[in-house]
Amino acid sequence: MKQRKGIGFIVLLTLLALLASPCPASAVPPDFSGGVADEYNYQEMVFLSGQPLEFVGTIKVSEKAKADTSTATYNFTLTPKDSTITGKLTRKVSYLTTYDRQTNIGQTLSSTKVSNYSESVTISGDKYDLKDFQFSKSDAIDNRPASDYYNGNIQGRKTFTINKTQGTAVVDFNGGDVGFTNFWGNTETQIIDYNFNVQRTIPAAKGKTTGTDASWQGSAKVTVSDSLNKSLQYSDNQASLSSFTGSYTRVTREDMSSQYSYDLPVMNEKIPDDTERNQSDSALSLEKVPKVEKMIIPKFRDVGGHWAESSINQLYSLGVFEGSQQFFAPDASMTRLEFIRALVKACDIRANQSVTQKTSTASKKASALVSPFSDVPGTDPDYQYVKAAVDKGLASGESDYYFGADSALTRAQAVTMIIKALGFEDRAPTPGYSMSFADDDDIPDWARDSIYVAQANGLISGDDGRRINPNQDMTRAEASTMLVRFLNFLQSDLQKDYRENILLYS
Amino acid sequence: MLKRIGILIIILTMLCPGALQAAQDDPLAQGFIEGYLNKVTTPDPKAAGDYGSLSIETYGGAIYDFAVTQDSTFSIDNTPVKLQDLHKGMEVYGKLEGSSILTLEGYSTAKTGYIQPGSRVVVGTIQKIDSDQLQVQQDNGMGASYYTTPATPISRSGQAINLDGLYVGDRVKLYFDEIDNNTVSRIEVQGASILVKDVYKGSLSMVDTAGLHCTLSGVQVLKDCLWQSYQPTWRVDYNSDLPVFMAGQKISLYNLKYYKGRDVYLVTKSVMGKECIDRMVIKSQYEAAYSAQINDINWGSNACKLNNNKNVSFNDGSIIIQDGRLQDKGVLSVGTDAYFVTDSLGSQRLASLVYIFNVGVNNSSVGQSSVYSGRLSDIFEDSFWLRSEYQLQDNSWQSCDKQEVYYDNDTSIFDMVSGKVITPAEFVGGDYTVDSDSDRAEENDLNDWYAYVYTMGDRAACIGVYKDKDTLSEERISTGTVRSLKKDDTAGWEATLQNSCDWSGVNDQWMPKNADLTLGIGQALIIRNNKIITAQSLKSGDRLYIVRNDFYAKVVLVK
Repeated sequence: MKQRKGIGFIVLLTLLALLASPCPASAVPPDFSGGVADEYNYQEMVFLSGQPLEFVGTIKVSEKAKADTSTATYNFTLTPKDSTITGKLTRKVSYLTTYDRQTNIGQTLSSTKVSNYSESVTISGDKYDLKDFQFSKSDAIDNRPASDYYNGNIQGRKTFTINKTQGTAVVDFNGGDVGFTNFWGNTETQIIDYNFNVQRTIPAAKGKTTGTDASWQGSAKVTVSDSLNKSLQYSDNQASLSSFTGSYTRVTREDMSSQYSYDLPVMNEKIPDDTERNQSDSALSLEKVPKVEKMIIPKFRDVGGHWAESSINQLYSLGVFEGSQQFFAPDASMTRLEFIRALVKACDIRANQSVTQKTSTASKKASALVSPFSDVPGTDPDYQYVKAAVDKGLASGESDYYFGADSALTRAQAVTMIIKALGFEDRAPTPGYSMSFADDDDIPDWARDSIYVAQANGLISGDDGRRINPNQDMTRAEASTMLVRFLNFLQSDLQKDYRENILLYS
Repeated sequence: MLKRIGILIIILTMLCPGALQAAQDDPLAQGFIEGYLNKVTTPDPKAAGDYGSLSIETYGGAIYDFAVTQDSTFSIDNTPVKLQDLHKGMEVYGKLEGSSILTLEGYSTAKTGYIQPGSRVVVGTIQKIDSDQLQVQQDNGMGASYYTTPATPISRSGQAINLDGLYVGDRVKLYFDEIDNNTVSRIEVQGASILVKDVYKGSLSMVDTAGLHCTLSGVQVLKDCLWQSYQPTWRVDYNSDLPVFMAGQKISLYNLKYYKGRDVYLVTKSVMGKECIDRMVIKSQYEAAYSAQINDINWGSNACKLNNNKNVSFNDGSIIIQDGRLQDKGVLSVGTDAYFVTDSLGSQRLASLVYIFNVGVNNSSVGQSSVYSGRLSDIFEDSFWLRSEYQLQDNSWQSCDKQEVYYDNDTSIFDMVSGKVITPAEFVGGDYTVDSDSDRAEENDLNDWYAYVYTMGDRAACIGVYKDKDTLSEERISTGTVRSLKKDDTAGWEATLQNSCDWSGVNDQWMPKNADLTLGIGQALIIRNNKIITAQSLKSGDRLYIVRNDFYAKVVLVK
């Protein structure tokens, strides 16, 4: 009994440790102040005194999630980076997020409110106490097979008292966030505008009757991004006398960047100078230590020197391709089933999870699985991939009762599956358009939108003759290259679009 | 008998032409139907073999019901759909098989090929700016020409700029409203992160491919055309798409670790709060450096001849910097003044770095700006005349004809004597021009003032007025990058510039200075984005084009 209690205690401690991890598991900027964090440090700009001051210190983040709610609590302890300035910032704030999952249309609506707060800032002898915090945030999340995309709006107001009776500092803020999350990475970028309205009177000095008005207004804009990204890197074997020449490593990097621009008064001994403004900008950046995971060693005999060797080996390392370790047959035709299996495995761990869950359920209820497809019966081990693909709308059978598992994969089919996995098919123009491909007339109606979106996003391009060859069968090498390009899109193109293309241009 | 029956049928047919027409219009007979969808009945999930049904009203008004089979296919505007996507009232065309629908196409799209305005985006680097045309190269190497209109909004870091505020080498995001039209509806330009922060040289000592860092030893930084000691060792970030070249060959990042111990040249930028390598060139031979002007270019062999009679070749890997931006080799031209760092072996020289000095009043060929100097006369409500006028042409003052210059409420006017901005009303009502024969002028010793005028066409965007005539022949044109600012108790605001050059009229060439240049800027007409700014508004890293008289800057254009 005692032993059980001990185990229970250890489990409880472990759970508490997990819940109070120093940083959030997903890449989301902590709080809504534009600060950046790594595993140990936290940095933020503070404008309450009218001067832009960098505060540094630590942050503790705890997250709790239930079925339709989650709570994030941030606990900050900071001091000014400039040691000549005396000050301290303590802030503890909890946000409660409620999710409304519209599973029928694959969307989730979330709304976030502040559930608990306390904040106290001391700068050069002045104390700012948070008396009221109003906050509202709402996001629309589009849950697509390979990735979730979201954007939201943020509104809030913080009201501080200054030295209890000397006045108030009201910080209004509004903005939005945009982000994505998938197996290969996630990025959230927030753009928030702050308006400062400080009404303050500095008490009269001894011998004087009236105090000094030290009121000021100002504004600041912060663009902050937290980004996590996984990539595959090849490293060769340093030893020559080995059974393999090299292997892939999956590297997970996470970093946060923020850019502040501000328009503040020039402060002279806490009194704003009405004739001059302090208009400038600053940037903060912290990155975590990369995490590395070794992958399966590829040993194909027939891909050495092939133009698609790197793509094939990457996919094999990821466990995307099954079968013989000896021969890949890069120039043989890729079948529909092989491609779907690779796509489901490579792009979307959630699909795999659902597959795994279904597999475990399936092991218990094997007889309950009934396939509508005569060529992929429910007892076929590959049926789980076909089912996942069909359930998620990535593919459909050649007819309602025949999947066409062994049919050769055409380029149009592959592109359509990839674009549907990304959930981008609705980004195509309204019907009735043509593209500049020489063989535009050969594009099947069902593939037209996907091919448009794929070429507009740089996933595919025409050949030297401006032909897209939609009905051409794909070789296993060509399909591998397309899958790797797709993974690169999930890894880096999305990150660049959601981070660099916002931060560097805004 | 048969003959009689036949005649009877003919007579009946002639008597009832509608019956024949009805037979001809019967969709079941025709095998197709056109009209309006009247009703869609989705299948009953409990009823096996029920695939639903459709009711269609022909254009003639007749209503027909059709069964849906498991082989029926549906589409709307050529897009395959399911039965439940069809809606009552939709115009349709269906092919029939008996009383069943074989295929049914609905028509719905009001505007074909429509995209959400601004939803088509192209990101790339400006290769050429010509009138209303931008040549932009995307990261995948594809290039195209795009067109602007006077209504195309352009912003850099969220601040509105004009087309003449763009530079070759700028990174842009172009937004389009239509799928097949290259007229840009909106342009966003990358902000300060596009600018080269510094150029370094050092020995590559470590490469962290997971963390994307490399470490250099014996690091030197290029300042004032001299390699100056920077740090003994230095770790710097790079991106996974960093281009690395050696002897003109592109080196894969994976192989970078094999070049440890080699000297490398780095260009860095400040990106998202950290300094990051943007281009790396590995030195393969021996370094030779020259400040020189290009006299001739052979594009066939990618080589140029300098005015010091040295031949230098270049390639896609050469680091070429102009206007603070990394550039394509296409910016090189005859007359380019630059600092060349070459990878040399005897007479063979390959440019590792070309740091171009050339700076002008305008950023590109679309600029219409000029700087004039002269004596003010006849100030009217919206215009004034400059006498004894000089125009800054090719970096030196050239006399020109007296001309009328227009100003407006948006013109910034700066009194360079008092150091204050004045309003147009104060400009027209002040003593900036006088009748020298008048008693008042004689009694108060008043004379016409002088002005530096920054114009866009014949409109004055910024005017700096001053009392005593400047000797323009003593003035020099300089360029440089602000390293620091300080306010001196006696001299006022001073700016210290690095990487500065003076224009030599004799040599017709920019001459680099090998030391920092410090200038008094407190009384100068300082212009950024066509507006006057204060001296303290300058920032470290600002690139300046300066008209100066020895220590004192007169006109400063922030590039």
